[in-house]
Amino acid sequence: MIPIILQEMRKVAGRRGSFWSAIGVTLALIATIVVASIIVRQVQDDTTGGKEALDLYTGLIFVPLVLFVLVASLGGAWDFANGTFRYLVVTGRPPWQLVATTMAGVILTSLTVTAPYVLAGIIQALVFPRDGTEAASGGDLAAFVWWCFALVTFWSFVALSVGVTLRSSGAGIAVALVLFFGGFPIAALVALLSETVAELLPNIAILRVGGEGDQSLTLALVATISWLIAFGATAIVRAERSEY
Amino acid sequence: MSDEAIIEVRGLTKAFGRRIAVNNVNLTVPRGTCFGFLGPNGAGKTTMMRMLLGLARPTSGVALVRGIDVRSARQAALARVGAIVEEPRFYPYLSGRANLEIWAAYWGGPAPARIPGLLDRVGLGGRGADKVKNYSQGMRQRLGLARALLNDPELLILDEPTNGLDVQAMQEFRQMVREMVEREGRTVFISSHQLHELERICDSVAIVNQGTVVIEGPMQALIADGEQGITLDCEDEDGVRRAVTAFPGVRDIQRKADGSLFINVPPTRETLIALNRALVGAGLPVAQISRSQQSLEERYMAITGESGPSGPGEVTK
Repeated sequence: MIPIILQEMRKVAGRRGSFWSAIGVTLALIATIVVASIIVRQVQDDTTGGKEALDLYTGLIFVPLVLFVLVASLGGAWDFANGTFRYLVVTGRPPWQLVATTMAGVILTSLTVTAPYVLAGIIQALVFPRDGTEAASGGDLAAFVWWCFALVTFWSFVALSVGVTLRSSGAGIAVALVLFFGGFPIAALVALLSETVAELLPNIAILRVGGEGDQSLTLALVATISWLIAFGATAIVRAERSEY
Repeated sequence: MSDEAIIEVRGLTKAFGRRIAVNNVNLTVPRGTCFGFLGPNGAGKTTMMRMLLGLARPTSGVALVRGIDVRSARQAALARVGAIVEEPRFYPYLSGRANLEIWAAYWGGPAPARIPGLLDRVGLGGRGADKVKNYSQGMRQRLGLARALLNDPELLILDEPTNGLDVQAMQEFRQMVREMVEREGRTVFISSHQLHELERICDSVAIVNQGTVVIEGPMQALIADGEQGITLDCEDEDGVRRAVTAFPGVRDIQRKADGSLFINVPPTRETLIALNRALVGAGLPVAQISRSQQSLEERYMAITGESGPSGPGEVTK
C-alpha cells in the first residue's frame, strides 16, 4: 500500500499550481510572522514567544488552510473529472480502496506541507520564551501540534470527499470553500435557534476539538468523527455505485 | 465455460433507462486469438467492453473473463487483463514514465520493472521523460498500450486503439498485435473503425448492431460467406447489362464507388472466361476483369445496412 500512497502524493505534487501555491503561502506566512516578530522586538523591545507565539500561529493557520482545501478538493475530483479513475478501476481494486488511498495521499501531502509551519511555531515559542504562565509548556506545544494537524486533516478530508462526490474540480473546490468559509456565518445563524446544535456543525466542532471554548471535548470529538464518517461514506458510496 | 474461451458472455444486457444499449448478447472469444468487435457508432461496443472490465454493471446476464464472473470477483477476473477504453487518459502534467509508475504501483509485483521494456516496445523509449501533455494523440495511444501491458495480461481489451496512429504506427501496431497473439499467446479483443486493419489482424470477428450480435465467426468464413463475383473496368454499364442479362447465374450488377462494375455471379474460372468472351463478343471496351469477393468493409455494410465506419465506397445498383 505504501508505494501506492507515495504515487498518490506524487499526483498531488505534480499539480504544480495548487501544490506550490500551498507551499508558497505557508512559507510566506512563516517568513511574515518571523519578520514581524523581529521588528516588534526591536521597536517595542518585546518578543512574540511562548504561548503568545503559539496563539499567533494557531490563528493564522487558516490562511494556508484555504490552499489545502483547494488541493484536497482538486485531488478528490481530478481522477473522476479527467477519466483516469476508469483506468485505476481496471486494475481490479475496488473503488472504495482507490478513494481511500487518494485520501491518504492527499492528507499526507497536506500534513507534510504543514510540518514546516508547525515547526516554525514551536521554534518561535521556544526561541523567544516568555516567563511564568506565559511560557510554552510541553502540553501547550503538544496541543498546538495536535490542533494544526487535526485541522488540516479534517478539512483536507472534507474537501476531498466533496471533490469525489461532485466529480468536478470546479464544483468540488467551490463547495469545499463554501463549507470552509460559509460554515461560521451558518453556525452563527443556527446558534440563534440553538447553541447546542451550532456546536455540532463541522467547523465549530473541529474548533472545539482543538481546545477552543469551554464545551465538552467528548461531544466535539463525537460530532467531528460523525462528520468525517458522513462525508467519507458519501464519497465512497458515490464511487462504489458509479459506472466508469 | 469451455477451456478454450477467455471471454464468455451469456445473455448480457445493459439498459440505460428505456434505451437498451446491449441486448441479450451471447459471445465466446477463443483464447490465443485476435477477436474483432465491429459495429456502427452507438451499437453498444464500448458498453460491452465496459461491462467486461467491470466498469459498468449489466442489467442482466453474465460475463466471464478468464473463467471468472467479472461482477462477483472483479479483481481476480482482471488480474491479467489490460485495456484501453474509449481513449487513453493520463496525468498530463507528469511524464509518460511517471504515469506508468503510478499504474505499476497499483498492479504491484513485477509491473514496475517492466516499464523500460514496455516504453521501448511501443516506441517511446526516448520520450519516457517527456510530459504527457506534450505527446501527440498517437503517442498517447502507444503509452496506453504500454499501460495495458504492465500486468503482463493474458487478455487485452482494446477499444479503438488505432485512433490517431499514422500509417507507419498503424503497421507497427498491426505487427505488435499479431506478435502478441502468435508468439506470446495473448488474446486481443479489439474494436476499431479501421475495418481494413481489423481484416488484416483478426482471426475471428463479431458484428454488433443496435446492441445485438448480428454475426460471429472466423474472419475468413465471414468473408467467404459474403457476395462473390467478378469485377470489371468498363464505362458502358448499359452495354454490359445487355451482354450479360441472359448469362447463367448472374444475380445483379452494381456500380461501385471506385467506378468498377461488380457482377454478382459465382466467380469460377470457367465463368470468368465465358463472361470475358461475351463482353468482347459484344464489342465492349473492357480494360480489366477479375474475380473478387466482398471485403470485411463491404460485408459489414451488407450486414449492418450502414456505411462502414471508416467511410467505404457507396454501392449503386
